Amino acid sequence: MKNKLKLLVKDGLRKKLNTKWFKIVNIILLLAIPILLNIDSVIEVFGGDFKDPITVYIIDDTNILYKDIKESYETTGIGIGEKEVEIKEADKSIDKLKKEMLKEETNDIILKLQKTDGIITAEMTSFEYVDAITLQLLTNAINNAKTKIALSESDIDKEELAKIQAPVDITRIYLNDELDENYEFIKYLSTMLIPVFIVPFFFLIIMVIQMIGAEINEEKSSKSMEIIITSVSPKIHFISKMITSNLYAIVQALLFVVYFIIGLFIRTKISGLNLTESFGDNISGMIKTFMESGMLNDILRAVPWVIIMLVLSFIAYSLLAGILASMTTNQEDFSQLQTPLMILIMVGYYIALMASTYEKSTFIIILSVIPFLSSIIAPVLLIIGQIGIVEILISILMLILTIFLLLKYGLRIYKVGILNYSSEGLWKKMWKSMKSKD
Amino acid sequence: MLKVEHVTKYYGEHLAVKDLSFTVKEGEIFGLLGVNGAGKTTTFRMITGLLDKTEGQITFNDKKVDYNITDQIGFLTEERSLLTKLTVSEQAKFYGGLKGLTEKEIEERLDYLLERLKISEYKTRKIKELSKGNQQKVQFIMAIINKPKLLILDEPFSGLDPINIELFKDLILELKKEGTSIIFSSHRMDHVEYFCESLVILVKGQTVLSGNLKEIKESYRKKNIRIEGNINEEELLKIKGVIKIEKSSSEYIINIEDQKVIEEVFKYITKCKNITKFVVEEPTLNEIFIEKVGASYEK
Repeated sequence: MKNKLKLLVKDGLRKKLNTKWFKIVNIILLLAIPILLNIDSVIEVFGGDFKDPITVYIIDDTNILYKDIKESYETTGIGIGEKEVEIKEADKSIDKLKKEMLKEETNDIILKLQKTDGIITAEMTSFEYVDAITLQLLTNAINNAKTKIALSESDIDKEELAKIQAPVDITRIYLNDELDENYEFIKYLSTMLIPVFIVPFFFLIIMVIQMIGAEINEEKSSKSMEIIITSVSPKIHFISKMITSNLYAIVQALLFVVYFIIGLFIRTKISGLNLTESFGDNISGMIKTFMESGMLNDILRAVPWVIIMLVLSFIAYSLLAGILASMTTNQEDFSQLQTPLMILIMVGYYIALMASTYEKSTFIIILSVIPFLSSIIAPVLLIIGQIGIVEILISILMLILTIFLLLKYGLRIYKVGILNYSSEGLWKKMWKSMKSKD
Repeated sequence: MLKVEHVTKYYGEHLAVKDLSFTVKEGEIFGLLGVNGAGKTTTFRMITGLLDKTEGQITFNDKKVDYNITDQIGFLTEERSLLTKLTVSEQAKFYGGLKGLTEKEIEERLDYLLERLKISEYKTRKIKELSKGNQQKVQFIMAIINKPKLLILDEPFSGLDPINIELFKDLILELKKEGTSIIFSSHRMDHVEYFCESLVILVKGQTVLSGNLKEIKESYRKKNIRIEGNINEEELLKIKGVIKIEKSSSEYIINIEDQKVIEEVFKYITKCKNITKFVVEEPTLNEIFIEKVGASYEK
């Protein structure tokens, strides 16, 4: 029987990996993932208006603002957007500049600054729309320059001015010794990273469910199930489906990782920088803070538990999908029966996203031990530190119990279901089969 | 030898098979007949271990049929049971592997059977690309790829032309010669008559007729007389015991109640002109089947 199990797994996997759709989808993924990871470079290659440099001609009737605006813009504008903007004092009259802009239809800007009755006003002239980032940066630069001048006119000395303009240094004190100084950062980071980690799990689990359903339905509708079950027991057949689909998911997950690494490799080659720097100052700064915070160690400590949870979740979901598929008589029926499974995964997904907002919510912690929902919620809560080892152990034990029950009672349903071709009195038949002895 | 002893199967309250018993000896072809829904598929499923019996016992060579001996069983289902996305070779490797054969054994056996059924060129073709008849040939090959000791053939000639039926017949007889016990089911009574020494006829799960085919026919009172020549049908029908007269292109088939009527008919025939044929025949299985099944349905 072991050899037959091996044969069923080998054959099932070979059939799946040899399909033209597997190859086509993976060629698309091999192209899409590196492109997405290098989307900024791809956009650059194709060019567009965003690539055109903008010259901001400043006509400073106040005679005091130009220098500060230029300095302020060049300081705050670094790293925000890729647009090349040059701040320049106008060497021509406003009318001449307007004529030139009309003639050449450029995207340049004329900024005319005036001071009337002690109030600074600005007039911005352009031929085209101005993009939101440039507009915001220019507005900020004007306001910063205005504040700076106002302060300097208030007879405040340079040192005092520097102190006023310097950001406030906040020292954090926690009265509760158990609190972790990294937690707030972890919470912030987790809000951003949770969807990134959950989406592949979501995708893979749906793939496993659909694969099991499609295979069982194909074997049932082609009646080849009758021939297979005369040679191997329903139990071996059931287990083989579970192993095959999960191995397939592992292969696909590994391929995802490979495509991701290829994408990152291309990114470093294009930018000529190391991996973290290639993502720009903001993300590389975040990664640097993350590495220095010691949070990585916490996550690494959670990894074995997360892996156990994921493995058990995949087993539980594939068992449930197999049982449901055995009860259906065609692919349309199974598509309908998958809906409750999809809802379970979706609920887990959204609750996991909400976990960082509703901190240590009793409701969410309870949901994290409920099988199927726990698959996504429990690992996320563990990583962001909202549950500990005890809670994750309860989740694991609950999943093991569920798998045991699915194997014990589900197998009885499976045995009857795979040879049932009528939907008449289906639930009655299944209920009866569940109560029957092995 | 396959022994089916007092087997009964209920689906809930519904009786599918009642107290069914028969044996199929080594090298024997046994007919399991019945109209649709008579309980044949349920019986096949119980024999192959797909279904549990409610009562009774099924043994093959004195061993309970379970997964330890199912490698010795071949099963050709009435409907297609092929994974049509696979090629013929892939399908054989899959089913043969499940029957415990090595790749080499499968390859050799497949080549032999493809050649016997004259479809060697389809070995690497996808099953879904083949015609209905060729798919049936592939299905038959899959059923006998493991040289089964027990073979169940449910409507094996479905979708085949007369030439291919002959190819199948040869292979079935070859298996019989090699000692395979074969259970044969078909709605074509001429095929059953050709192959089967013994049979069971099921109606609504109950056995209405069983035993050796020759003995059944002999014990069956009704006979047929085939006559060629000029006869008066109305005169003939007046003879007591003549049930009906059928006329084909060249002859009359006189259906009589029992052997005693033969003499009366013969006396009448001697008065007729141009009589070139007078043959007394056993009834066909088709007639027995229709009468038995029809009578049971009327009850």
